[in-house]
Amino acid sequence: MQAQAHGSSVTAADPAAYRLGVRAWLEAELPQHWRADQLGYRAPATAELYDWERRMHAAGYAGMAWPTAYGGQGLTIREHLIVNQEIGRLAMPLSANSLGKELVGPILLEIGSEEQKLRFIPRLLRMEEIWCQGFSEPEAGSDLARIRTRAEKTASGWRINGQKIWTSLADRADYCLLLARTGSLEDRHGSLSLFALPMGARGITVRPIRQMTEAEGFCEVFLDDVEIGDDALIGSVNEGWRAAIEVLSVERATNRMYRGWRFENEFRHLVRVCAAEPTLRHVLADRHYRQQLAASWADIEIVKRYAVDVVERLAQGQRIGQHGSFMKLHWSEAHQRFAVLALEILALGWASDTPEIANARRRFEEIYLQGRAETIFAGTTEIQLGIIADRILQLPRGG
Amino acid sequence: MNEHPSAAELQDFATSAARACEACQGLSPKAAAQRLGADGLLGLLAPEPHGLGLHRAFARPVIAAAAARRLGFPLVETLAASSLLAAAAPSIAEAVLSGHEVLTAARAGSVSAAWADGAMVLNGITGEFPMALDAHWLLTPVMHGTAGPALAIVDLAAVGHEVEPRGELDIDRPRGALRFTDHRLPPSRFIDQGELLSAHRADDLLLSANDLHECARSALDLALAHVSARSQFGRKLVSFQALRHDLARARMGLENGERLIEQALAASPDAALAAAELAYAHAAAVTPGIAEMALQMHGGMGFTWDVPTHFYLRRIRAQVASLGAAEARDRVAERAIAQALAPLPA
Ligand SMILES: Cc1cc2nc3c(=O)[nH]c(=O)nc-3n(C[C@H](O)[C@H](O)[C@H](O)COP(=O)(O)OP(=O)(O)OC[C@H]3O[C@@H](n4cnc5c(N)ncnc54)[C@H](O)[C@@H]3O)c2cc1C
Repeated sequence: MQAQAHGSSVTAADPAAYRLGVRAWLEAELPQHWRADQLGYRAPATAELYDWERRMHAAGYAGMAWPTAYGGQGLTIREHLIVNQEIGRLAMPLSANSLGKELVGPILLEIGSEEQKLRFIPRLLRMEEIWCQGFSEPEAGSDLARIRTRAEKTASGWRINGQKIWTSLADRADYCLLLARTGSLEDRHGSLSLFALPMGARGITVRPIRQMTEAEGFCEVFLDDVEIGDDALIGSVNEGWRAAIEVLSVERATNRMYRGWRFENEFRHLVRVCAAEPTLRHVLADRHYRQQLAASWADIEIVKRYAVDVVERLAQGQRIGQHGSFMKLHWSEAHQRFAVLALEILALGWASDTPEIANARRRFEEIYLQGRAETIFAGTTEIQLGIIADRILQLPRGG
Repeated sequence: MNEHPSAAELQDFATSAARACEACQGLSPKAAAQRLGADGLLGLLAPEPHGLGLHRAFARPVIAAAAARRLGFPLVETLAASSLLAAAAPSIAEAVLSGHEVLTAARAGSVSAAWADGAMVLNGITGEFPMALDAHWLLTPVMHGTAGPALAIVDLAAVGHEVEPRGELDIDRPRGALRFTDHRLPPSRFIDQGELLSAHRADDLLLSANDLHECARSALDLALAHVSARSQFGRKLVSFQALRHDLARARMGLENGERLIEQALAASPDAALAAAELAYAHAAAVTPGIAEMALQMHGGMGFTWDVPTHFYLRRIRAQVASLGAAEARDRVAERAIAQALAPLPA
């Protein structure tokens, strides 16, 4: 199963050449005005982004480690890393189907039926179907064992009732990876199941929630007698949590693998603006800021090294256990620290709001605000600390 | 045989390193040197025929075993200097790596060196160095007027040297400093080849980072054991989330630092110094706080000689007093900014 999720045994014969190929393609194809570190930046429209990701896939740069039968490239997690390193080097827009590619794909590869793999994976890679994730509920955030949305067995499938919240992209998604209760609430994690919920089904109401950053697509989802087929069930009944958690702990260590290299791109952007702008140049000579930049640099090297180490371990067939919690905890907090530093430094350039400073400020204000969510989603900081205490340090719990 | 060892090889090695360090308990530094030397542990990294020429990763289990047992010996200093000695001072290498003479090292100081009448004349004061009263040789940085930074190997046993005891922090490895007034150093004990110096510095920083980690890990283990055993308010202390989260955070600090140590171990020779500086800067920033937290978690017990937590804290603090996080970060900043301003490779 690991081999499926993390790549067949085929490897690009020459990693250096493979890397140069990815680099050249991205450099040539990614429009300059979509790069957040360039003047004249503007965010791509959703349709443009879908088209861009479709082209990336067609060029061979999505689903690197997935089997070709499901639209993947049939390579290994090592090529996945190379592509992500090159993606990170550029200030490229975020994926518009990241839940599909980073969460749904790996879960289906692990526990989906052959029909589901064939049906869903190629389409999410080709951006024909966008996915959202329906886990959180008003009464079940960190404590997902309290999920109340219920799936009842009917003659031909399942009937769903309940409510989801904080569902990113639900307003545009074609499918939702739904975690729902298929037994009694007392069984907590033991009676949850996973479904591929078609968002066009009758009985689904999506309401937008206004996000702090004003970014669109944050939603709550109401489910009233939604009828879906038997084939919507992913994995076995009441096994949804176990499967999800298994995949999630790997995903925590492998998702958005470009992160460390993007972080480095942000660091470069900040330092270069300082060097180029007369009102900011003194920052690079000031020991206080140099010390903080050095600390951020160490943070970045750590994020990168975690990714490289995880890839090596997975490529050698080793397990990574709960180590994704270290990565999540570290990068989310390190990124927040860096964003604070960037805002503080850029504020020193107030006397000359050149286009370069204005552009950097726009980018880092966005990173700063978005960064506040990074210690909340995908398991909050406190939840990661709990995982490290319970599962890695194995501290006894009882009084 | 200069390859990165497998996990199994390291495990084997850890067992014998632990046995050797165990056997050194209670021995004088000179006797410990002979024991470690006879086991081949001091010459681990030095090229043959002086040593075993093993990969630097083999130093890790030895440093771990020594730190956990608070060995009163300049182990990191010796391991880090071993290749340098083998290249530049073979007879001293022979004596030190076999365990017949003890070598220690200073990391900083303000010693100037100038040629006069066929000798290198030293003036000024060294930074603090461990095992100050038990070592035969001192490796110390000096500044040579025209040639820049260099290293001097000073014979502490020679007459006229008065080591000044310094500070009470590190009880296991008492420290001192040495003042030179027109000290004449034989030219053969003056090392200024750039490559040797930077390789030595890289090894020293990397192994020191490792040592800091192992001391912090030992302190953390003591804290874990204490809060797991002690009850207050009718429950085990370990059940309080505030303590669990602090312990988890400390563990993350070590895990993060491990990544940088691994990176430095795997670095190519031309990247080794930068990677070691980064690993050290991180370790120096993170490990003191972990040992301080560990002490805090013992309550009043932590403030006594009944638990050894304070010894680890002292060792860590003494080490970072001779090369602190801020100075180490200065070097990291220089490289990080230069790298950010350089064009990306095409
Ligand atoms: C931008 C964004 C996008 C998101 N996208 C999605 C999505 O697409 N799909 C989806 O299902 N969910 C999504 N989420 C939801 C996210 O997973 C939850 O917000 C998160 O799991 C926390 O749950 P909660 O909001 O209910 O907070 P709560 O669980 O109520 O937590 C509130 C605070 O209490 C702390 N806390 C909780 N329990 C403990 C404890 N035992 N010990 C100590 N402290 C504790 C938390 O760490 C937090 O600081 C998204 C969230 C954000 C911010």
